[in-house]
Amino acid sequence: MVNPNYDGPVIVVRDAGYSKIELLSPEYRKKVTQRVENPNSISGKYKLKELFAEIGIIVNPEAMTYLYKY
Amino acid sequence: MSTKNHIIKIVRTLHLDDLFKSMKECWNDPRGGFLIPVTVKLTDPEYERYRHLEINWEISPITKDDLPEEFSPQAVKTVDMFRRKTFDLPYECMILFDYETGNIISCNFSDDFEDKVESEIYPEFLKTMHIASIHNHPRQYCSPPSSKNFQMLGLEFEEFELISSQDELWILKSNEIIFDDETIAEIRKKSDEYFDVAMDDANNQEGYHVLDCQNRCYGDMLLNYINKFDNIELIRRYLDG
Repeated sequence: MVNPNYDGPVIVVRDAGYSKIELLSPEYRKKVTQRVENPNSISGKYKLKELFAEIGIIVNPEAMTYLYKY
Repeated sequence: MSTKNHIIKIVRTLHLDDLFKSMKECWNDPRGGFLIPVTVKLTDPEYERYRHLEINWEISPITKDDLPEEFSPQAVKTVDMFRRKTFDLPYECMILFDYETGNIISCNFSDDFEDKVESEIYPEFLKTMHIASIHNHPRQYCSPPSSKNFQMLGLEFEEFELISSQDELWILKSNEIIFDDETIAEIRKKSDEYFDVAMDDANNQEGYHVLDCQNRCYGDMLLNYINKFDNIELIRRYLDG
């Protein structure tokens, strides 16, 4: 709370939110990738492509098999 | 560009060198002098940068129905343009604006890809204004407010805090009382707890549903919790991309 008698500047700070990339830290990434149904199916790969695209990471679905080797 | 460079540029552009020389002569010998008061407006480089951000016309507009009834049509336009300008930004931007006139008061960017944006505000100059802020959560961040996003509850001059993300608009309203530090700390602590609970819940989902479930579960819990407080209102609006 700002002191009502204080007439100097106030630093307004706004957070960017919880990071999705942290959610995909090695620990969580392992859980995420392990739970994809049949990851080697075409649909599974493209759903993963959408998931990573959402956080700005571009992946090639055709070369995605290595993801499940973690 | 530094303020000093701005002033030098203005002096050269307006050929004020001669004016300053004549003022010096006037000060040395004020008899018969003619004093011209000059007002200099310095352009805020960050606002200039905001003005020139590319506008995304592909996304759906924000209308008056998405915003509190206190927002004027000009303020609705300010919010709509903010979302269009920041929709594709990979970093944060924040503006403070008057929700009655729609005028932008300040503008700041988080240049170093930090997970926060800061602005130095002099509340003394905002006493006659009705202040709201809006900042964006880039696509690599979750939509709902995080535990660090409740500073406005302790600020007297700010009445609305808006958060614009890829598919949601969050509105935090608290324009009647100022909350003490302990209450704000409790809200932040609860937010972190709900986030952890939502994370556990999300991890029971199929892989590609984790992030979606995390966003939705945490947002639902936050809405239920915050709206139990008197004098605080948290609103979530779903938007089309």
